[in-house]
Amino acid sequence: MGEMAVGHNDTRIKTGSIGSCVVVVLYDGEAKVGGMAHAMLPTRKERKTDVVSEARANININVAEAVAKYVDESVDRLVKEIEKIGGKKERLKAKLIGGSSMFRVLSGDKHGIGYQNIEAAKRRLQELGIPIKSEETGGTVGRLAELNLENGLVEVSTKM
Amino acid sequence: MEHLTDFERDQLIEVVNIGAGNASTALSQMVEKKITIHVPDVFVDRVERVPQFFGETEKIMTVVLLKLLGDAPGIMLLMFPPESALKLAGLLTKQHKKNIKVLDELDRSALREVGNILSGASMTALSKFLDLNVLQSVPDAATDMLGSVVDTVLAEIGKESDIVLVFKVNFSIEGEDIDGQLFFLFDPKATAKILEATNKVVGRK
Repeated sequence: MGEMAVGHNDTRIKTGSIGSCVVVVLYDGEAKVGGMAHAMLPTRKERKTDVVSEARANININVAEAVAKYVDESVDRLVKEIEKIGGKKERLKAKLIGGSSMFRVLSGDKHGIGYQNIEAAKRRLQELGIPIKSEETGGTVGRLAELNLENGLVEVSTKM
Repeated sequence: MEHLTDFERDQLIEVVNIGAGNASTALSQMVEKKITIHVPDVFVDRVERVPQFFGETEKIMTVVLLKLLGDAPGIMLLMFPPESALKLAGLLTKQHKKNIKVLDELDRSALREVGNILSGASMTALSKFLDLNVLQSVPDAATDMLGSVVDTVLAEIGKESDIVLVFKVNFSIEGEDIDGQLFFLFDPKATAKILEATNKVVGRK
């Protein structure tokens, strides 16, 4: 969750337990490099960090924010990381996994966070001109995903 | 990572303990069995870093979720391994089933009701003790990988806050081999409110 990884050839990248988060897979079939990001929220919101409450509750977290917390930013970052190890943005193809809505109570009126995550990923990929090859999204189930970097195949499994 | 001060930590644990104690009394009356509850555990960190605190991510769990609204907004989760959920549903509906794969609508409804009652009992205790106004949503239930459920819940908290406080209370029903966990998730704002209210109460005495 909030993490990303890139690699090439005989590597496999696996991520567990995807719920309403979205996993973006990018793969360059020619260079056989690619990567995966497991992002949590559609986009960074300008919010006043609640310094007062945090101070009052004496909460001070000193660890850095996860690299792939926001969908749009993690797509950008994933492209950059893949290019660093020999991939080309023009050759990248995307796959999307996740974005389910497991609890109706949380979906609210705007389709819930899962739907928003998928939309955010699609929007950013379109802006970058990266085609989406396939997606396994929505519904109410949790998923696991594993990317095989030799051929770009993604194995998605559920436990229900 | 810096924690709360020991004093504040103890204060919060005590508050959750009062809520969970009330909840277990309610559950005990429902199933007519003795319930053992453990001392609550508290955990603070960035939302994306807490999933491991909930347990083994690929394990299937039955989860009842309620949203807490009002003065201390947050989320309450009631979690059982599916076998325990089925047994508990059996105790409540007076029907015993062997196949753990099938939780029917009656079972799910019974479990949602358990969530409702436990959350209600906890929140009533908090409201009375701390003089806070806390409401709850209707319960919702799902059975899936623990990690996926947690992923969904944390994203919800993450919409509003970078940091989350998680309280965990383990409980078991005596003689029935039913284990469950209660989780309360709050953002720093709600936590500050709870601490403030607690200080007021402590100061009064």
